[in-house]
Amino acid sequence: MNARPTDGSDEPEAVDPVMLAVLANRGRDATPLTSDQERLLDDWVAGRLAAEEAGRAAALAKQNTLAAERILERRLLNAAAESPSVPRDLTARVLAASPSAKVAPSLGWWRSLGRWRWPGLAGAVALAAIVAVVGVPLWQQALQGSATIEVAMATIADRTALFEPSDIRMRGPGQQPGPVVEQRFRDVEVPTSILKGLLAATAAPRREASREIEPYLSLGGDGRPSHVIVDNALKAKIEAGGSAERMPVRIYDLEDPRAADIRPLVGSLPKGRRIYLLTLKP
Amino acid sequence: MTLPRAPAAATEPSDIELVDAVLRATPGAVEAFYRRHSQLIYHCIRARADRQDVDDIFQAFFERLMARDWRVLQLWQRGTSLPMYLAKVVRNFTIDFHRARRRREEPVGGTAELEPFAAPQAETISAASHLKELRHIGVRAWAILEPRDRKLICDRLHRDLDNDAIARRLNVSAGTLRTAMSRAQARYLGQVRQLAPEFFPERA
Repeated sequence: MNARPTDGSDEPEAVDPVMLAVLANRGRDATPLTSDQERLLDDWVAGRLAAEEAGRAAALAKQNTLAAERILERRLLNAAAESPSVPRDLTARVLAASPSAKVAPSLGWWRSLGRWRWPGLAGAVALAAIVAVVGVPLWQQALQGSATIEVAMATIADRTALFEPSDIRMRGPGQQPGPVVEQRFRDVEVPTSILKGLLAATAAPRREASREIEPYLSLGGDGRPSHVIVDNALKAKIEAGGSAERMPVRIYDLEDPRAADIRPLVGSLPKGRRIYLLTLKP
Repeated sequence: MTLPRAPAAATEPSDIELVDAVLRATPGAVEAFYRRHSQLIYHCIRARADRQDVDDIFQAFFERLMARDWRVLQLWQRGTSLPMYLAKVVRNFTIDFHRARRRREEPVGGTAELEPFAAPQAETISAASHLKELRHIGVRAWAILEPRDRKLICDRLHRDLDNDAIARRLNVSAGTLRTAMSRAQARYLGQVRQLAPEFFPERA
């Protein structure tokens, strides 16, 4: 639907080679982009390329799905940046409605307390102070001991079990396999700095890593600490990755019953921890 | 999938970290999310709504996000592009807004009056790629064209033929073909713009 009448609809649309290349993409290739290719595409969208390089960028956009999607995202962001700003009074109205902005008025709650409630309140504060002084260090100690992330490496010789039906790409214009709703793995893009931190942790004596990786693991929240196994093939790719900011990673939760055929590939598994395998996205 | 690196600078949190902070109700997170994405959301609404409705829809969109504890952000698939996802959510919201208005403006009586009492419709969240959706839009735009334009667009975009080959197929001179192709592409892009206006800059 398009409720807004197109402005100046009689005016012919200027030919837009970037959009035409995206529309010509047939989705036959999804090879991850190198940082040079990303730069080439960004420069093309920004109109900074000479004809020859623009031709290279157009060919990439027609062939590679990830290139076309990157261009779409850039176009969206550029169009938004050129669009008029949100009016200030509208911003003020929206933010005034946000819960965090409503905290300030509630600071006067103590005024509603009657005089007779003060002794009880003082007792509660004293009790809270004792709990804070005695309990918090103990709690922190327990948290540090149990909630760390352990990291290990694994070399997988036979990778057959890691082959997923959704990775199949058909040649030709025939029916492509549809999107798989329930998969036993997750494909995410993880900042290379976090991955390098994980690799560094495998070399350290205690093999404990920073918890920055947690948001990508999609922790189930069962309170158990995590054990992350990094595939050696992924390590080689990270080390050869150059200056790419992010890297596609496939994550398996090895407690998922559907990952039963992968568990034997990574050797003995620790007990009492939630175990994830980080490997290459083919 | 692709690239969730939005306009975040190196020192700023990534979209994943920002969304996590909003969902955990971290102080200041809503404001940070608003600073980063409000312009995009406003643009997407402007692209699809009448000017006098834009501010109302924008405010209603954020009110809905807050009233539902940012459920839309919980449904975002990490690792995909947050701006593209938000554009799709805003589009659905704007369409719902117009549908609701049409219902309100219908004559009194009939089953339409019962609809407000039904369960609210969940946001339509699809795991399908944004590119695939644009391809469908491209097909719809192509189908609206005149037969001659359809042929030209098909030869250029789908068969990937160059101008000489197309001119030979159509028995026309290279100059005639260049003019016809340029006009056909302009008309095609005009249709695509009507169906997916978010991806085009606003006309002055």
